[in-house]
Amino acid sequence: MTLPALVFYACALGALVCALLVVSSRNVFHSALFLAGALASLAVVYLLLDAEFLAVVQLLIYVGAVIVLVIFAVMLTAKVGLSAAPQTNRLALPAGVGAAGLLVVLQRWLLATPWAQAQASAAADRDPLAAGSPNLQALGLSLFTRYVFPLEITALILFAALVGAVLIARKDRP
Amino acid sequence: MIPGISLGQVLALSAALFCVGLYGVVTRRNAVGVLMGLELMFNAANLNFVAFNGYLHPLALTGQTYVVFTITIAAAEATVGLALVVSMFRARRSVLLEHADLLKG
Repeated sequence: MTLPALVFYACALGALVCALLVVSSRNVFHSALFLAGALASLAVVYLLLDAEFLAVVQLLIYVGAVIVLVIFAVMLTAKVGLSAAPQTNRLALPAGVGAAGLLVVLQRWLLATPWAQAQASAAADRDPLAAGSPNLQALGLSLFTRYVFPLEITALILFAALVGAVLIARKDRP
Repeated sequence: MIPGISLGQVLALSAALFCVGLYGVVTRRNAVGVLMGLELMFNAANLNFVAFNGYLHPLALTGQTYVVFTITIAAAEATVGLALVVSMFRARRSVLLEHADLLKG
């Protein structure tokens, strides 16, 4: 077994264990920390999949910003003694059965699909924007030429979310 | 692509992450916990994009470009969602979702 495959298995195991602890931990603060672990493991998987920029973005935005935001929310809203109460509602058993059933169905589909065939037939087409340039340069070119309009819309959405979050979480209502 | 790992194995990881996130979203009583489950599901979708990009179109970057947008939207969603949680805590002194029953008849 090659080294990248070993790293992938280790990261997949880490991400899955961390994700299970996120949804099963009684303490929400611990959940947030396990979520950080799962997202960091996924960043390594991105790195293995030749998406270096996305790995760094994952670490900066998810593990950096979103987790800090979640931990702030936990600390602002946590009550003393809350961690002793059960953290799941009465849907836990049916939801567990449903999620496991969905997983089984998805895995059966995955096993039934001829991936090697699709890989052999689809790998030939080449994006003219990405031809012969490194990942980051090609991604930047693609973002600022072909996807420049979605990029601007995304900037607008981020601005609206910023204003909305400040307005919603503000203490004194007008 | 990762040598020694097939596309199906990466997709299996992402399917498992999605189901775990779904379970978290449905069962968590704490609103912050629900948001964390949502983040797990977002990440499963992102992993799918990157895996399909890396295995089926290694010379194009369409999937990775989409993931940049998805991460941005997910960050915006987390910001607004957590602001709503803080606002709900101010109004009802609780973040448990069964206490958010103002519209229940």
